[in-house]
Amino acid sequence: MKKIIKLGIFTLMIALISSCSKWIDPNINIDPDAPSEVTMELLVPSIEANLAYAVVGGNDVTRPQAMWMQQLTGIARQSEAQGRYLFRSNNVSNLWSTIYASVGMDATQLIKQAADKASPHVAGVAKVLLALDLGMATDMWGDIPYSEAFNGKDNLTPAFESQKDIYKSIGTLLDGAISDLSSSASAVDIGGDFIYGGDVQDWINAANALKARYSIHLSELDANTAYAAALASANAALDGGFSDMKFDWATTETGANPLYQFMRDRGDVVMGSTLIDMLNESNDPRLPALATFADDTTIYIGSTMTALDATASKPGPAVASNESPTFFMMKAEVYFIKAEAEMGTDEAAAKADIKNAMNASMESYGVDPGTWVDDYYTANIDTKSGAELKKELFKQKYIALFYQQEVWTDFRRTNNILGLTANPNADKDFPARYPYAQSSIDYNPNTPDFGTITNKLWWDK
Amino acid sequence: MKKLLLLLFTIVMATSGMIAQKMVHGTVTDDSGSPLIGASVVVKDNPNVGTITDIDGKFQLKVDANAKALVISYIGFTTQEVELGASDEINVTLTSGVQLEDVVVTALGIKKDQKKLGYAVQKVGSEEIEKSGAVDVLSALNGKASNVRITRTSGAAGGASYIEIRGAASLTQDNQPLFVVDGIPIDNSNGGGGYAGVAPTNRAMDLNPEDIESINVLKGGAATALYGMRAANGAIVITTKKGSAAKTKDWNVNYSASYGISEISQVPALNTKFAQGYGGQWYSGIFSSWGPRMDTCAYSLAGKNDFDVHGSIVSKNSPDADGGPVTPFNQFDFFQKGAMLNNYISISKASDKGSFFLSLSNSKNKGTIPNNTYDKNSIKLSSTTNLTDKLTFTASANFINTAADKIQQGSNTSGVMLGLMRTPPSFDNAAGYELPDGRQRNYRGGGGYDNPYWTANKNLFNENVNRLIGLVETKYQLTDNLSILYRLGLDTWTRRYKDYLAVYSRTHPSGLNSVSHSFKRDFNSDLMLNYNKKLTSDIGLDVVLGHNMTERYYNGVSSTANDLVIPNYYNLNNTTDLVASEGTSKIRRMGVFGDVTLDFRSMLFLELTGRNDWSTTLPEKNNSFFYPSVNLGFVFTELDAFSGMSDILSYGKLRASYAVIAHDAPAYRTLTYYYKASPGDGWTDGITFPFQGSNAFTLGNTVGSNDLRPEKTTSYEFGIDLKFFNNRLGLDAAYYNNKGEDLLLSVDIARSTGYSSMFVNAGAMTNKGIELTFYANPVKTSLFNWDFTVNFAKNNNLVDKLADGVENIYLGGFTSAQVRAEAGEAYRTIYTYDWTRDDNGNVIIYSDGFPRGDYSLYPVGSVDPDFTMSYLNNFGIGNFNFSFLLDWKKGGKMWNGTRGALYYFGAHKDTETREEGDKFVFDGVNENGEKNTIEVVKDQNWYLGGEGSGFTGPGVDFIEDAGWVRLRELTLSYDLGKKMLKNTKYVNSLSIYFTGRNLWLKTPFTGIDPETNLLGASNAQGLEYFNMPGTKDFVFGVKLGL
Repeated sequence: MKKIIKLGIFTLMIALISSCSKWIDPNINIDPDAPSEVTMELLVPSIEANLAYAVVGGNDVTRPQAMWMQQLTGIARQSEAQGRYLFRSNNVSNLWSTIYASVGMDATQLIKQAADKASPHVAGVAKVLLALDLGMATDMWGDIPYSEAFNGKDNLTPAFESQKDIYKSIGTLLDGAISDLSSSASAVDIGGDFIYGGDVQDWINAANALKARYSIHLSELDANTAYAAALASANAALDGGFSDMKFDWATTETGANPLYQFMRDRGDVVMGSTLIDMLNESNDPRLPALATFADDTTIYIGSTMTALDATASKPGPAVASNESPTFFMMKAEVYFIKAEAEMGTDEAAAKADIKNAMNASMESYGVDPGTWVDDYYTANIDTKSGAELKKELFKQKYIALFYQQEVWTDFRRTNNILGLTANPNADKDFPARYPYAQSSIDYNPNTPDFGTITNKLWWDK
Repeated sequence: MKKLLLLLFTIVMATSGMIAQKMVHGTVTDDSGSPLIGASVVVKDNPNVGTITDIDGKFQLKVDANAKALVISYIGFTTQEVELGASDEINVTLTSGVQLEDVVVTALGIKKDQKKLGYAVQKVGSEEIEKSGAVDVLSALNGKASNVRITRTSGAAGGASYIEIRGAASLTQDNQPLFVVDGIPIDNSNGGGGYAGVAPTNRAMDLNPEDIESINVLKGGAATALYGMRAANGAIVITTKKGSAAKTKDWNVNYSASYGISEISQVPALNTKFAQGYGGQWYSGIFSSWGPRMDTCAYSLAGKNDFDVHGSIVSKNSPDADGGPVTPFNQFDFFQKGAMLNNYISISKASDKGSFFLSLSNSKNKGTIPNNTYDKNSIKLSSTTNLTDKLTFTASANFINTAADKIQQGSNTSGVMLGLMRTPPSFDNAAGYELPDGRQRNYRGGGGYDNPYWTANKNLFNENVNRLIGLVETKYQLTDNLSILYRLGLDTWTRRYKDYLAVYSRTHPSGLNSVSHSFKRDFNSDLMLNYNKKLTSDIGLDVVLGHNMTERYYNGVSSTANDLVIPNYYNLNNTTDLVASEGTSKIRRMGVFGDVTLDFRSMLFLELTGRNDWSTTLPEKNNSFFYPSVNLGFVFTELDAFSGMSDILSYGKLRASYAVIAHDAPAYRTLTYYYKASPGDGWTDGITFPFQGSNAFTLGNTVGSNDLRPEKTTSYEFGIDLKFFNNRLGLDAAYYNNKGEDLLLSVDIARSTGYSSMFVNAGAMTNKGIELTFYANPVKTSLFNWDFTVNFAKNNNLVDKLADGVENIYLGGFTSAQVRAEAGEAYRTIYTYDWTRDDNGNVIIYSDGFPRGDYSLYPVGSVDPDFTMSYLNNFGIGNFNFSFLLDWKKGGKMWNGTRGALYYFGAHKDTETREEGDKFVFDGVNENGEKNTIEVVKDQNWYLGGEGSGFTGPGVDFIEDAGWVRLRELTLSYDLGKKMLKNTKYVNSLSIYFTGRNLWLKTPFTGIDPETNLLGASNAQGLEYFNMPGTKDFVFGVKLGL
């Protein structure tokens, strides 16, 4: 009996020694649920969807900005406070994280991978998206990191570059994109592209259109250079056959438009009286697309900033239904840029392009204007010139580009050409910039002290 | 490694030689001459050699020729030592009383005489646990051991408890101790909760408190060095009941039943004066309670509609005021009385052939929230067989089923307290929650937040867990000095839950149905050799060598239907939007360890341990590490100099120990991975992929690291244990200093790096403190007995440093109030916005009479308490016993986010002083430094439009002192003594008792019972935001022994 037991002990010990090395198997520590490498057509949609949901159409970007620009009015909770220009570092940490750690990083990885795989077409798309990401960011924060960014542990505190340098980098990226997209061959085609379905020419047009936008942003610094560059790029885009650069959402609850999701989960915003009054005054056919009827009525009412009227019209089906697209850049905007750029030298062409812009806007929203655009043109555009004409341009642009960041950029760039009055309940003037994200202040000592959100950016004189 | 095992072989072989032995035998009886069955007879200084008495009280034992004495013990009787002399027959009579020396269970199930330990072990026995009236072992343990802080995180039935011993040792990993049952480490996961959702249930709650024989609390350091990595935070070592024989029979049957009622304890005071409205006017469906005074109002029947079922609210003087006066509804009427019913039966038997134990139990609990239930069923079977007098075999299996129905809570538009407390007092939630067309009836016209009645009846979370904890163990006494033990344990559970929200629920108006199945399987294998020898007459040696392997495996699948096509039909096929996910985790560890104890004249004890662990979670180049410990115990009363004092100072020991404990990393941190993209923002649910038929991946936000090292804690402990007047008075004091270094943390990094966090070994944190346990038995007569125990503990935690460039780590919370670990502050410091202050720290009151916020985050207080103390008092009068446990927590702050939110809505009682006549002067100085005297009114402009609420202003005023004094337990019991039952044929013992839990609470915290936490059993403690209120319970029970 004793011998049997001792034999048993021997066997047990032998079994345990031999299992030693196999037991601590390093392969166990590789996560079976997450890949450490993915193909490019899986990165493209991630970049596009993140950019569309949280940045271009983001609830921390266009929602507060539309409230400041009085296209929307915040009536409760945080929306009401933000409508009074109460906007702080903690409000933008999520946004900053998406711009850098999601969109920016994925785009940078994609550019590298496309280079490794000799696929310049894909690199081109990545560059356009990265340029737009940086463009949206710099127009909110001014000085931001770029050339030292995206290096992970190798550089934990990237330096902030001047907005001037960022604009240069945006230009370089867009030029690089155009060059890449113009390559004759790409080993791997563009895949997973929700915006243009992989069409190379469309992306070239988009790059040119964005170049036009970022050129014209510098209009207060050097109008002539800005307008010349903008005009050239706008023409290039239009000649190439530019079509709306947009991201379409789905009808499912987990694939829906960000503004739709915000209205569903939070509510708290209604249409602003400044915009609704404009639309009502001219009987603009886009009204039913941009706004709903006010509660229990068949008319459109916008809330003023003081009334906080919860029964006012809400954002309409063209912008806030579940499948409403998020517009990265509308064809209307390209026409508006062209019109603004050529106004100094050729007013007639400018007027024609304003009409083109209005028609393009109708098309983008799926609205049939009938004769309304022509009638309005005859009565209100053809009759104006000089400063008045410019103001009318920006009024039409304000309406056409509803719920886009460009409206706030125009406001700053033209020093409030439309004459909006600041919120009487606010303790400060209109915001001119975003506060740096709390995460940046906390973790990057290179984050500059931005002062207050009324301090102007470099291109805003 | 291989050499070590070869050495073991040699020892095994060499020691199977012959050593001179003799056979002793005898009988053990009690003071009335009756035989004691199952009394323990062991060789002094070698407790591995022993036996128990048989049905006649007789025993037989083979001992070494040089064995000095036998130690005979039996529960409830004073242990006796009998010298072994020339005679082989030893007859012993034991007298009833308290034991002077306890055997405690230390790491790895090794039983040791408490006398020999160089560190503190606190023991809690089954009596204290059974009479606590608690449903789970953590609640039963609360307040019974010093420096063991247990927080019941939700008042819901089945709500998790968080436990921490001696302060947090890790910055980011779990700080809870290891739970060990009969030598097997078991899983205690699932305790962490989210901001919104239901109360989690941690898996240690599955254990049945009535199966527990004793709990030994090992507080860390040297006590847990042998457990390796998992016990850096201490260990709760649980020993379950095995067979134990009654005095006169083989078989022992115990039955107990208890019935309890519970009700909610304190809740915040709400506004009961002002109706729903805004700007002093009533509006139907408006979000706030800034309406007119209800005593100036009346209902108007013309305004009756689906929501305003009593009518619209108009002025009393209005011609339409035909509906009667407007009186406030008590929203807390929503809560009900909870109930609990427990039934337990156990059958056991013990003899010299082995023991057998079977228990069955059923526990049904109904919470104070309607439809919240928590039921446990368990079967436990354990059997030890002495196959030969040297070979024993033990097998045990515990099958547990836990089923719960839980209700939504927290920062959740569908949460009970959020909807309930924001409802204006003029709105009648109880008058219906669902309209005929299926829409919801709530105070916001169907929008806003869920009516709590809707939540409790339409949105259910049903959870079902099946768990098996089993072990097999075999022990062979190779020689008198050498034994070998092998133990293999399995802890496996499957958890299913179904969580649905009805269509029209505010969190998910299109409805939601989520189904999840998860599976856990933990294996643990221990092989130990134990060698015990008296080297000389003065020096004894005890050696343990061992090998340990563990694997922890988890796999879960969950699927969510994000809309419901057909309302009220909760099946995953009823949707157009189905998303699924899968997760896996696997960790393996292996260790070899050695423990050498030297004992000099039973007076001086020195123990050295060393353990080397390997773990798959660390990079291959760094996955092995060694850590030692040493402890010294000096029982100075054994010196001759003290022998004359033994009546006064019966026992005195000095203890000192030093230990290094390492802790590995969580799984899967060495590489950077891609994850399915999930675009979103902080406001909405966002997008899930696959989207429009495509999938998308994004580079993960945490950088993987191939440089990870284990975390190391170095701990020192010094202590003294004194017993006076034959154990009528005792004092145990300990001082400890734990320094943690290379602590792993996922540090937030600047997002412009392309990532949001990285995992590094960088932190350092120190915990130092003292523990005191004072015991006294002032009156001890046959008629009246009075004894009490005081436990006191004070822990000072300091985060020494984090990583380069990292000033703080966010643990949890909101943007306006969060809990952080910050270098130079205590772990769990609350950060929030403050008022602008002058250089002397006074709040500046501006010319309008109001202060202004300073929107930077400042540290405003620490969550962990200054000290904790408990007082357990026992009065025994004849067969009656009256005991109570007072629990005192001094200091410790909590964020009362609920109050901050309720101020905005005008829903809190404090906002009642909102009228012109309610003048208020803010405490502070004006801009010139003079005391402020400006009178203002704190009305809607302040609370809603200004900085007076938690949403719009600084959070500093909502950080409250969460200390308390509470009567945690009060027990009255009547025990029909053995003498009374002596003449009954079957009944051996019978007692009835009443226990009240939490009957009295005194706290400066103005919200619910501050023993709560929004995020459940997680590191982020100190947050109250619409948590479920705590309860007080009244339990009646009976225990019958046959």
